[in-house]
Amino acid sequence: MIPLLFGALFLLLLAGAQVGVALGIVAWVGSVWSGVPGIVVPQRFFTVLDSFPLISAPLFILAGGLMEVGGVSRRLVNFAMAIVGPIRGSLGMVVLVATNMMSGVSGSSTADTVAIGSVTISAMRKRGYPPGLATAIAAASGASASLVPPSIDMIILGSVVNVSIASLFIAGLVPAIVNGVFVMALTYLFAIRKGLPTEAWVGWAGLWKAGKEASLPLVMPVIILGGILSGAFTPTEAAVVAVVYAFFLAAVVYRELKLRDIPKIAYFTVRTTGVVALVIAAASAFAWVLTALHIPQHLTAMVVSVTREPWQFLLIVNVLLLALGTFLEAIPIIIIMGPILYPIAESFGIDPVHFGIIIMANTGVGFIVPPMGVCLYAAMAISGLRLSRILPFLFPYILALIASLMVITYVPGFSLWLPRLMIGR
Amino acid sequence: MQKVALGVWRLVCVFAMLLLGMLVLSTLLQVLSRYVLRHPFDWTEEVARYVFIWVAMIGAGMAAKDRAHFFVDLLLERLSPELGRYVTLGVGIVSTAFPLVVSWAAVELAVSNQVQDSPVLTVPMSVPYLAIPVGLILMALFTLIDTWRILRRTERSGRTDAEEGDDIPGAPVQR
Repeated sequence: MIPLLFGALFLLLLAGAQVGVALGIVAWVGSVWSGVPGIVVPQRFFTVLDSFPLISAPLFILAGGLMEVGGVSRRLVNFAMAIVGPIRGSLGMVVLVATNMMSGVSGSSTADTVAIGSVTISAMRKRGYPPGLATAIAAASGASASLVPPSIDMIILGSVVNVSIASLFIAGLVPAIVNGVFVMALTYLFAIRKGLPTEAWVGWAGLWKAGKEASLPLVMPVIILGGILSGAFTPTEAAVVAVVYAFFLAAVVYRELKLRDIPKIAYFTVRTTGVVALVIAAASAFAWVLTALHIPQHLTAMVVSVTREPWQFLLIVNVLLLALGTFLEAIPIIIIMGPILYPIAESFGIDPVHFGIIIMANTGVGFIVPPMGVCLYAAMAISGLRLSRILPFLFPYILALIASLMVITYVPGFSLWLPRLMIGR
Repeated sequence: MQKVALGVWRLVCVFAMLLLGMLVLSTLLQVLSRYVLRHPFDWTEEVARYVFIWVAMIGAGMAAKDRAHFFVDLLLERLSPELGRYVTLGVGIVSTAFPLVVSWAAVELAVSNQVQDSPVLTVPMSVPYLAIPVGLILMALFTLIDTWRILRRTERSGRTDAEEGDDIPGAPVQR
């Protein structure tokens, strides 16, 4: 039964079915097969979507959209350029730094890849970067920044397992830097081997000016995190404050937002919400079927019979999640595997916040692993390059992110230091 | 069929904008009423939750029209055009049938919740529940039209640039 369900899911995905539809079909067939009335599928849709924290998803998407149209990407890229300019291969590092900054004002890694990639990929190519490398850098930067709060995936994880979203947000910051160091180090190696150019140092005055230009958008993550951590706002309320702030910035301060942009932004916000929501709903129905078939218990028994060592358990988790990440998107992995793995992790004495960050780092690698890498697709769409030309450059970045994942997994301090410092847990 | 779809489409777009406006307004009022009026409204959370379900399901329908839902096309690109057409047709059929079948169950579910009222607003629970069949039927409608269009153009269901516009606010809306 179980291999059949996963086999059917895999076949449907391979044939080009939409992820949400494929998950939904398998959930439907599974529920009817196991004698549960099919009505459970729409019931799961309703139950999982009827959630106040999830409302922050469209709000963060909207805030990111307003920021993007308001000309924020360009300012962030300029600021990042002023910081890392004189290093060899600096433009590639600018992409990483700017994508991380963008990630602090939007909730989706795909959106960050698009926002920064669309201003930087052509610039890299003009400066002599191989097109495949330019595309791989933009994609890897998006995947690497997936740990930067606010993150829709963290909100989803926090709403399906019992972990505070605020703790996950704050815990992601240092591991995001670890990811960034690995990606930048690899870019540096490429820069030396390919003789990529350096950019001119803009001087302290230039740095100050670019920093001032970028400071207003960068206040936003401070408002979001500060508001949530101090208990002033729930994540959803912080998201609507972010929308108001982004609107104010784009329309009043920068004056780059036009009235006719608003319907377009609204359209994309609702549509992207629909994409995310369908996957959430269908994955949750699928997860329900797995629970009805007692899969979590079987899996737990299996894992426990294999090992009693926490480090071996974490290795198994990483291999499992990376394998799932090749053909599933992050959201279904979080919704299906989160509730199954959490109780096991708890029995191994692993901190729930650290475990959440491990899951996020895993799904983050999946963002650039074909065939289901959403950041990879976003970057490919901008550069218009075929996968075969990107792969030679992409593969080392996948390995770099996996190496970083191992560090994040086996050094819990990176994830737990900040939350302990700031909220004393 | 195309004409009906276009009419439905315009209606859906206007409705979606209104819903998003309501979502922003209700969550904003929740913050403002607590910090400015010092007297939080009790209805904002429920309004926001139910409006969100509608935004989500209408958005799922809109995404089906633009082929914006996540999918993998690596295999499809490697098939012969002939075989690709059959695969596209097969996937199109199940992708249309699935939302229709579930929407049937979803209507039943909404009807069975008709008698129950929501805790704060006291609207019938069928109001938020109905979002699910409406969104699913939109998905089925647009998937059907899309599959038909692909097969008639004797194309395989590959990606085009505009479909990749996923998550790009301000990118041109594709027709």
